[in-house]
Amino acid sequence: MPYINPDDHIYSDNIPMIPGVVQRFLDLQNLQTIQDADVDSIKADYPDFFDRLLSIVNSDHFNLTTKVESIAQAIRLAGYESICNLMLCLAVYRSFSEINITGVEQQAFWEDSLRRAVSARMIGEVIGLDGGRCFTAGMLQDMGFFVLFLISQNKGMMWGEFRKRDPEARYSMERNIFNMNHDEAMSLFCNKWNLFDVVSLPMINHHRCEKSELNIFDEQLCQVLYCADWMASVYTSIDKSFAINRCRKILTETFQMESFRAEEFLAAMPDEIDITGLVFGIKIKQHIEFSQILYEANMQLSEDNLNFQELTSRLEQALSERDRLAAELNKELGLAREIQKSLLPHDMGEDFPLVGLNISARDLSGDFYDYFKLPDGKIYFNLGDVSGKGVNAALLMTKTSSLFRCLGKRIHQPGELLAQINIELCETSIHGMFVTMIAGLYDPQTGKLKIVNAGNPPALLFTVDGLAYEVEAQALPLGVLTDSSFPEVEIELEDKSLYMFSDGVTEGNISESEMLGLSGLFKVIANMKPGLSPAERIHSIVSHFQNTSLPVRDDITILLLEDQKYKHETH
Amino acid sequence: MKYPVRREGKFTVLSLNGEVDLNCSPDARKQILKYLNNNENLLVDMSDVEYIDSSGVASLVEGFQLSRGLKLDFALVGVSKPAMQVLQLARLDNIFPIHESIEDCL
Repeated sequence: MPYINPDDHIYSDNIPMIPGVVQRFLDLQNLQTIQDADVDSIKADYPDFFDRLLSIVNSDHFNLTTKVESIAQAIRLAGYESICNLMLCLAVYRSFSEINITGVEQQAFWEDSLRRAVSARMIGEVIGLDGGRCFTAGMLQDMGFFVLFLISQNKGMMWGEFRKRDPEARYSMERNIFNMNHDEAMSLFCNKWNLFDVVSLPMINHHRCEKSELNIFDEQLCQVLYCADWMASVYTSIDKSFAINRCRKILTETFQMESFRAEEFLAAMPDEIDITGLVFGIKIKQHIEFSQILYEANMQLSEDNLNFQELTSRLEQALSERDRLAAELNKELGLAREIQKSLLPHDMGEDFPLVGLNISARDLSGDFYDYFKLPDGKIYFNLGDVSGKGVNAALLMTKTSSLFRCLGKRIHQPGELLAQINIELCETSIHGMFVTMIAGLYDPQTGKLKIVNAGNPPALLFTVDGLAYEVEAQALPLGVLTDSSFPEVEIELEDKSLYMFSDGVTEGNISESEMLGLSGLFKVIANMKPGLSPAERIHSIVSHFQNTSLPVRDDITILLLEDQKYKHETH
Repeated sequence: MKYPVRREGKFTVLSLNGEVDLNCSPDARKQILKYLNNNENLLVDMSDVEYIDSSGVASLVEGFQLSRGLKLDFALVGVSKPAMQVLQLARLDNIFPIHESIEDCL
């Protein structure tokens, strides 16, 4: 017995008692042979019921080869079981159809029962089961559903919610609402009406055919009932296309039928329930053709399809918007890169003592170098590296480089120039960003050089004999402390070469696991082929990084100061 | 990522570790600024820093600048060799107060 919640307003007594006619009809099965007199004696007590049963037996629905005069004759012709099945359908309908439960639409319930009945008969006959038995089982399989409302009459208003759902959804909803399923309620009913031996087992188990221990015929009937449940739901549930597809699936997978049989059965159903409704005296509210159902299902499908199309179109829009923005951003980056490149000095020819090279790791560089002549012939130069990378580093690079050019034309002491730029950068400092810079003022007239190293890696000063000196940082990077001082170092450049570089050079990879390093750079320069021009030498240094497949991690910038005038004089 | 933080006497100790590069330095910066803005004296333990790039150094510089404005203590502790090389190269080892161990600060 199922668990019944005592607080759930259970009125199991509300299940009608087994009618006398049914009891007496069922008792006939205990007789070894059924005599006409046994049947007629029941008829004498229930003439009206027997008249209706006879008209059903003689209707097209029952499909007897000859018309019969009495139920006794029908039993002789068709067998007790067939007539008993019909009798049960009629008796159940008569016993329950008079009960009023607020919210429960009696007429709709019997319409649905007929749909299940005719579906079960159609499928059953195709797979070789007795059509009459399938019809009865189909008709009565969801009596448990009605019984649920009968024993919990306060839930009647939920009826409509149940009806528009598919069988599975309804089944799990029953557990939540009634604390029992309709098959459990059905067993209460079968118990009260002593129906267990007739058709009850497959009916009670039609939601769990595989798990029940049924014989092969009962298992088949069980499966038929399950499919019939879904076929009836095509006409009542909201999601019609889902229900139709489920019918196709059950028919093909369980019964190995072609999937189009689902449409055949469903299309035949409206006429079938019209006929059987007439025979049983069940009014059919509205004749709904399958074409109408298909139309609704297709509408639903096209709505789903539209939603899908809309989703796809939105996705496409979003992607093209992203591509558009990326293209715009790339264009902007391209422009920024162009402006940045334009800030680097032009090649001033072979006689000019400075040559530089900048390779950026990203679209925009945080490194820079510059040189320009003052009216008195002296040459200002710098090489800088902004902390971090990307757009913010590039913007700070632009600012610093512009400040250098602008202020450099007025301030002719590199130490003082860097002090001014430092104050400017500190005042507008953001995110602690700073700039390392090596800058100097070279006088070609005298071959003398004033240089300041503010946090930059040491510059390497090479003599013609191959000796090298490091010009280390004497000052903090720009933008760290307002009151920093920037001491100048004086160098007699003459025929020497001053290599200045950013940390991207010493930290650049020359193999998968090895960085060039300061000593590596020293060796590269010292071992360079003689006779190379300054530009060729810079490119020769950079070529060491291009021997590896590793991407360039940091911007690489090299500036070489070498006055050819003194070189030529030396040689 | 979130760097571990603990309390030692009057100091909040933030332990940076691994590679403090362009990817991680925004997280380091966020934590450094958070504690300083919360008026906490901050020690940055750098003993487990394997690599620091200029963006990581910039976060320290910003912390240093902010601490001066707020008149809070800000120091680097147990700076690892690779981190120290970067600081020395840029002469920044002269501006940050640097201590060998936390005990030295207490």
